[in-house]
Amino acid sequence: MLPPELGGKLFQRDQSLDGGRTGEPFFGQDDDAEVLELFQPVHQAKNGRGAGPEADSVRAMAEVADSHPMAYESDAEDTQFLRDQDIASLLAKYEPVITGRCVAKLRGSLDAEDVAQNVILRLLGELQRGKTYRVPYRVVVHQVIGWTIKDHFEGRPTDLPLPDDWEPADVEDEAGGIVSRYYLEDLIAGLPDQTRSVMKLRYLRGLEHEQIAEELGITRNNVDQRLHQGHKALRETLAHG
Amino acid sequence: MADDVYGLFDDYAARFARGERPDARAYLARAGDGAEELAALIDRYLEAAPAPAPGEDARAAAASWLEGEPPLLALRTRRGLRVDAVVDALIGTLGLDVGKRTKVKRYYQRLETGLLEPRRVDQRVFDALAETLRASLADVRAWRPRPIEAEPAYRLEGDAMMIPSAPVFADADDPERDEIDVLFLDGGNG
Repeated sequence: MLPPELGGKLFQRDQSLDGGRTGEPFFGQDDDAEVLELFQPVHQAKNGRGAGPEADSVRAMAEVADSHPMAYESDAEDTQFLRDQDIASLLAKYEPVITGRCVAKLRGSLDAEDVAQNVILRLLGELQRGKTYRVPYRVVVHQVIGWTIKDHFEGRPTDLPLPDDWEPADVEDEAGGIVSRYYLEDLIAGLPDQTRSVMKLRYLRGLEHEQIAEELGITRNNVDQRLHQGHKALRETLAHG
Repeated sequence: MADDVYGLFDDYAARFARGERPDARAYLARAGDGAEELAALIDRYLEAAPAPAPGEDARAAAASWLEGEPPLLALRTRRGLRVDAVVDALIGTLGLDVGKRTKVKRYYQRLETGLLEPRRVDQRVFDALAETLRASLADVRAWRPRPIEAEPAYRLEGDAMMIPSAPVFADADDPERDEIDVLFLDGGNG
């Protein structure tokens, strides 16, 4: 836990990002007034109440909740960790992502774990300083990963804290949403419906091929074909940066 | 022959989505010439996929790390196991010489307290520990000791830096080097 003197100014996250899907309580805490309050703005927006830029932002987040439910639930979980000052859970959640990306970016070099450790230390330093963000925490994590790896490749030390005045780069797309690179659903948006469904069940829920076939009422062979099609699309996505 | 890149990616991503901790390095090693493409796929996937909620062992390991305690020590304590029980299990599982129990214990204690670099330790040791501690040791291995931020008054200076640590272990050229040294110092590649 952090020192109590830091508690008051920690995690004052942008409220417009704290919305939730209506009628579906997160975390199984439907009797928790604080959690319900957390998602109230989106509830209001989806019922047509509210106006102006803030309401627009809330509506945008409501759309995220509908179109990217798993990413949205994950963001909501992060918000709760931040509110609870549960840094251990937050770092434990993202450590596999950080290490995995560092190993991938450094192509398996034994330096990868050192860089990953420094990403975690930078994130921890930011949390201890009481830094707040207007973007979901996972976006912050990915940007710190990117900067730290860049520092590594450009020969700068990666074990120094980030500058006091750094801010996450703008991640809004033209429609005011978070750019597609942070949503798996968006990366495969151009695929046929059934292929998208197979991809989501496999890469967001981790179902086995047989389970996907059963869930969608298609053959195992069809699942394999859809995944093959999805892999080709991912390759295209990579080719176009 | 290298495995198919997309088959490897498919397996890696599904395991990640299930909340497992697939080892990206192991997958890249299996990809052969396709490692570059697989690395790009894994990186892109991890950036776009929501991270699964952490398991209890992962949370506990991170909490220990934040408190400055070795995560492996915290895990053993949580399981209510004594060091000797873990050492006996290592000797039994790895088929080591019982007469060298003291040496195994010293190595284990160094590993547990963060004095031994985990990547020098053979995977078989971690597999045996995972079985003994009923845990995914990937969660524990991930948390390396934090840099010491000692107050100036506590810094070792001058001669104090020259005090040798108690257990002295064989280096790579030591003729007395045995299978235990290789397991704990050479990643089993001795």
